Amino acid sequence: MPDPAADLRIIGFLCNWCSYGGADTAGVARLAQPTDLRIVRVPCSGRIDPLFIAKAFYGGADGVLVSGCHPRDCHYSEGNYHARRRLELFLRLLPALGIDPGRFLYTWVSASEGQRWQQVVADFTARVHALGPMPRLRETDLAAAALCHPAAPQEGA
Amino acid sequence: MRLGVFVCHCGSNIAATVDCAAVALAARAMPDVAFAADSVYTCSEPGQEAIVAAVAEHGLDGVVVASCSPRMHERTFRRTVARAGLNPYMFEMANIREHVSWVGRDKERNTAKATDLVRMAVEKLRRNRPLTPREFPVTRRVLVVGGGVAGIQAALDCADGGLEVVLVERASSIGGKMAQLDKTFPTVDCSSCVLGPRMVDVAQHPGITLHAYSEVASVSGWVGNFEVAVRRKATYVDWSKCTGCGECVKKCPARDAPDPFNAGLAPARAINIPFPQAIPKKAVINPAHCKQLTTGKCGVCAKVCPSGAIDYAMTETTVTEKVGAIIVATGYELFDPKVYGQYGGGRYPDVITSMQYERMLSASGPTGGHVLRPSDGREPRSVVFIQCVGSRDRHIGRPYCSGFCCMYTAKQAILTRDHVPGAQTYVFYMDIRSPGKGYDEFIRRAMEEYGVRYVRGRVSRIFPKGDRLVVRGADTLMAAQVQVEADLVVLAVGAEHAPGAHELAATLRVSIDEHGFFMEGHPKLRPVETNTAGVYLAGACQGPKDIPASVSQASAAAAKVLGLFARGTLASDPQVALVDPRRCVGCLKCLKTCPFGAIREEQGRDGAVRAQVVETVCQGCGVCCVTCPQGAVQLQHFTDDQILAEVEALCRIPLPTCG
Amino acid sequence: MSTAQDAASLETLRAELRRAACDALQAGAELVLGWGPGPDPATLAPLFAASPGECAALDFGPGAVQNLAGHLRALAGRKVAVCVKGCDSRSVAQLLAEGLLRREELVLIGLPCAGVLDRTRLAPGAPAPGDWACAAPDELLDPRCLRCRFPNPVLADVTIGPGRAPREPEGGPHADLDAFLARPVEERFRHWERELGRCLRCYACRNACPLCVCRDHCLAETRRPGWLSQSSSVREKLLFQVIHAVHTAGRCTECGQCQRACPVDIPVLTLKRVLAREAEALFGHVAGTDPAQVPPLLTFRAEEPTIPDHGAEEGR
Repeated sequence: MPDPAADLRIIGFLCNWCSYGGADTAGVARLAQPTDLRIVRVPCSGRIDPLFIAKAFYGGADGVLVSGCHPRDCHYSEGNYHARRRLELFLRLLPALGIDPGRFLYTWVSASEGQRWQQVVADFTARVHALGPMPRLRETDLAAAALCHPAAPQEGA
Repeated sequence: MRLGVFVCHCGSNIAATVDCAAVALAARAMPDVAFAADSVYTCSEPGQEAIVAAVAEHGLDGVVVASCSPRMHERTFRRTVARAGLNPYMFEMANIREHVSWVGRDKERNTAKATDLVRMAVEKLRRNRPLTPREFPVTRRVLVVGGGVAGIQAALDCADGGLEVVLVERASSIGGKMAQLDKTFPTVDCSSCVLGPRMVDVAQHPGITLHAYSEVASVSGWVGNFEVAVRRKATYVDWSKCTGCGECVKKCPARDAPDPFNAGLAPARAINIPFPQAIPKKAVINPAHCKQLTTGKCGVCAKVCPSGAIDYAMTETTVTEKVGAIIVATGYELFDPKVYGQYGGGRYPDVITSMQYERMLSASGPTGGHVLRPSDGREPRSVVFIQCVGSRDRHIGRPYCSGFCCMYTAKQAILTRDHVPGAQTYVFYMDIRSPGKGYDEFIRRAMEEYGVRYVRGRVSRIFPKGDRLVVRGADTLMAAQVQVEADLVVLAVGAEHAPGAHELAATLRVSIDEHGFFMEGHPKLRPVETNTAGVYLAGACQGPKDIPASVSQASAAAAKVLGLFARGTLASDPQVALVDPRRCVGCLKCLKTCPFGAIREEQGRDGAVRAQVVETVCQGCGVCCVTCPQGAVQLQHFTDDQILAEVEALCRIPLPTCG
Repeated sequence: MSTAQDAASLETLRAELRRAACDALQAGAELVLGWGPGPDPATLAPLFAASPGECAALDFGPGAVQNLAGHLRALAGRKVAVCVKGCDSRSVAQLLAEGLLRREELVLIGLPCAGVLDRTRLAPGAPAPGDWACAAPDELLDPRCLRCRFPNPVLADVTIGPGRAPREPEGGPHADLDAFLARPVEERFRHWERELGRCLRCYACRNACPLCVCRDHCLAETRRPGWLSQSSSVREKLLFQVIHAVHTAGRCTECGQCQRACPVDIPVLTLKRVLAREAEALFGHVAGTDPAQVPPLLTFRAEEPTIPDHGAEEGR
C-alpha cells in the first residue's frame, strides 16, 4: 500500500492561460487538493517538450501531469493541437520504456474549471499513489560508477 | 549572482497554513540566494519598499517573491523590481497561495511544497536574462462587435475620443435588446427615447463605420495590428439606394416570416424593416420566406420600390478591416422556457415570455401597446408573473442569477396596472434581488403603490381551466399551497450566452466560462480585459447585466482602448522566440509549425539557410522550441534551460557528478 | 551454391547497375553512391564512384548493409546518384518530405532487396552466404529484413533486378515488440537499465542515423541548452536514447542503421519501432513512403478521432 503520509513527487506542466488559471480558480475557491503536485508554468501546452517529461521521470518524478486549454480554445490558437499529438505519442512510448503510463496524464482544463482541476489533481494523485514510487535507475556500469562520487550533491550538476 | 527571496504571509491567507519563516530560512541555503525574508504583505507599499531597499543594501541581481499567483501580481512586482533598478524580467514568483496555502490543509506538507516552489523559482531566476521590449506602431482603429446598448456606448466613447470605429452588428439594425424594450427600470422612462438618439449618433458620427447585417468571419494578427474579415450577409436590397420608405414591406405578400424583434408575437413580412427607429433604416429580405427567392414568382417589392433598390441576385461579401483593438459587446440571449413542461412548455398561447410581454406593452409593438391575450385578443384581468425561469436552477444547467429579472418583472407589473386599470397582478418569486440605486424602492412601489401581490414560492404547475389558466404553487412564507386563476402568465426568462459565442471566442482566441459567457482577465482587477491583449469586453457578453452596468462596462472598455492607443506605439512582449544562428541547421521545422507565421527563412552571409523570428509577430507560445531538435530556437524567459532547471529543482535523485 | 545460370544473371545485374551508374554520371551526377567490394567476402562496403572506371566496381547483394541515404544531406547542393534498397529509399523519401533534400539533385537507382546479412550471425572471414542473384538463408539475415514491408524502393528513377515480395512474418511484424511489452513493467524498466549500462556514449547510433541532420549541433553535446551532462550514468545514456527516439518520432523509417552501428549491441531500434507503430496507428502515417506527406508532428487536425480525450474520464 502506498504511504499516504508521504507526498510523492508529481510535476505539473500547465499552460498559463487556461490550466494555470484553472488551478488559481480552484485556489481562490479553496478547493482542497493533495499536496504532492508542484506546478511548472509555461505559456502554452505547445511549449511542453515531451522530453521534459522524460527528464522528470528519470530525475525522480513519480508522476507527471500536463494540462492545457481545451482543443479549439488555445490562447495561441494551435499550440494545444501540436501538444495533443506530441503528448499522445509520448504516452504510447512509456510502456516500452518500462514506465507505467498511469504515471502520466495530459488533459485540458480551462481557467473557469476550478472544480474540474480539483478533481483532476485528486484523481491523478490517487492514481500515482496506487502505483507507488517510480523505480530508480541503478548504476550497472560499475567502472563508470566508480569514477563518480556516489553522494555528490545535485548543485552545480 | 545575488538573489533575494521574499516570502509573503498575505496576512493569514498564506501564513495560516504555511510556515513562511521556515520557507525563508530554507531559501537562504539555496544557491545564489544572498537575502531571504518573510513579510506580512509583500504587495503593500512597505512590502514593495522593503524589496527596493534590499536590492540596494544587498546588491541583488534578481528577486523571487513567494506569494500569490503571478496572474495576480507579476506586473506589480516587475514594476517594483524595475523601481529598484533591475531589469523587470530578473524576477520570478512562486505561487504559494492559490497553489499551496488555499488548497492544502497540512501545514508541514504545505511548507515543504512552498519551499520546493521557491527552489524552482530560484533555479529558474538563476537562468533569467534581462529582456527589453520593442516598440511597434499601432493601428488607431477599434472594432466593436455587437451594436446593442453596450456596443453603441463603446463605439461612441471611442469615436468621441478620436478613434476610428468599426461597428459590426449581426442584425439589420443596431439597438439590440434595449431597442425591444418599452420602458426601463427604475425610472419607467421610454426605452427608445433613451436609446434612439444614441443610435442616431452612431449613424451620424463621422468616426464610425457601421457594418449592419454582418458578422466577424475571422481575426488574424495581434494587439495593435489585427486584421478582421467582416462577412456582409446578403440583404437582397441595395442599401445605397434603399430609403427605408417601407413601401415594399406594406406590399409584400409573404406574411409568414419570423419576427425576432417582436419576439415571435406576430409574423413579419419576407421583406422587413424591424422597427421604425431602426439604424440603418433599411429593408432586408428573408430568403427562406421570399416568394421570389424560393419559387421565382413574385417580384412585388422590386416593382413597388421607388428607388430600384431590390437585388435578388445579391450575394454575401467580405470586407477586411485593420484595427488595433477589439471590443466584444455581443450581449446575451433570452432563455427558451420550453424546457419547463410544468409551465406549459409553449403549449398554452396565454403563457408568454417577458420579452413578448414587453413588445405587447410597446406602442410600436404588434398590439399597438394594448395588453391582449394572444388566444382571444381579450384584455386580461389577472396577470401572473413567474420569476427565475431559466435562472438559479441547477437542474437545467442555469445555476446563476440573471440579475435583472426581479427588476423588469416589477416594472412590467407596474405597467400592467397602467395599461389595464384594475387588473390584478401576482409575482411568484424565490428571492427579490434589487441591489442598485433606487432599485429596492422601486420594488416597494410595485408592492405598496401598485398592489402587486408578491408570492414567495415556486410554481409547480400551470394548467388550463375553461379559457383561463390555473397557476398552482407554494407560498413558502405562508407554508401553504396557493392557486391563482390567471388570464395571462408572463415567464420572467433569464439570460444565457448569445448564440455563436463559442465560435466568436475561438475566432478571437479568448476564453469562455462554463455558461458560455466571455472570461474577463481577472474578476476583480481586469474586469473588462480578456487574457488576449487588445481584446476587451463590454456588457452582458461577459455575464448577465442590466443597462447601467452594461453602459458602465462599455465606457470602461472604451477608456481601456483609448489608454492603449494613447502613445501611438505599443511595447512588444520580449518573451518571444529567438534563434541561435550558430546552432540552427536550417531544417525549418519551426517555420512549418509557427501558428503566427512569425518565422522566416533567412540566408546568411555564408550562404546557409537559417530560421529567423520576426519579434513583433511572435506571440511567445513556444511551439517552435519543441520542434527544434537542436534546441536552437529558445523562447525567451521560458528557455529549455529554465524549464529544465525547474524540473531538476524538484527531482530528488542527485546526479552522480564525476570528480 | 550458385549455379551457372545464377552466375550469368548475377553478371547481367551487375552490368545493368554499372550501366545505370555511368548513365547517371553522364546525366550530370557528380558522384554515384553505391556499394563495392568490402573487407571480407560477406561484406559490400560503401563505394562513391566519380568516374565510369570507378563504377565498374559497383555491386549489390545481401552484404550491402549500409544505408547510403545518410550521406545525402552533406552532399546537398550537388547532383548525386545513390543506390537505394527499399528501406534506404524510405530514408530518401522522408528527407524529401521534410524539405531536407531536393529531388532534382538526386538520381535514385532502385535495387529491390531480398534482405541483408546480420553480421553478428556470421563467423569472421566466412564466405558470402549469398549474392545478388541468390538470396542468403533467412537465419543469417538481419531480423528487420524478415518483417520487411518495403523490399522494393518506394522511389526510384531506374530500378534494377526483379521485384521482391514483402515479408509477412507469422504473428505479424511486431510480435517481438508485443512479447517485450507483455513483460512486467518493472522488468521493462530494468531491461533498459541493463542494456544502457553498456553504452559508451560514442553516439555511433546517432552518427549513423540518416535523419539526424543536426550534425555538430546535437543536443547531447552542448551545454546550452543543457539537456544532458557529461556524466557517465545510465540516466544520461537512457535519456539520450529517448531524445533520439522522440526527435525521430513520425520520421524514423526503421532502417536499423542506429542499431547496426552500436559497438556494444544495444537494441536501440526498439523505441523507434514503438513510436513508428504508434504514429501509424494514430496518424495513419508510415514514414518515408510519400515525399509529399507532411510529417505527423509538424501538423495537426482540429478533430483527432484516433486520439482519446484524456480528460473525459477525469473530473468530468
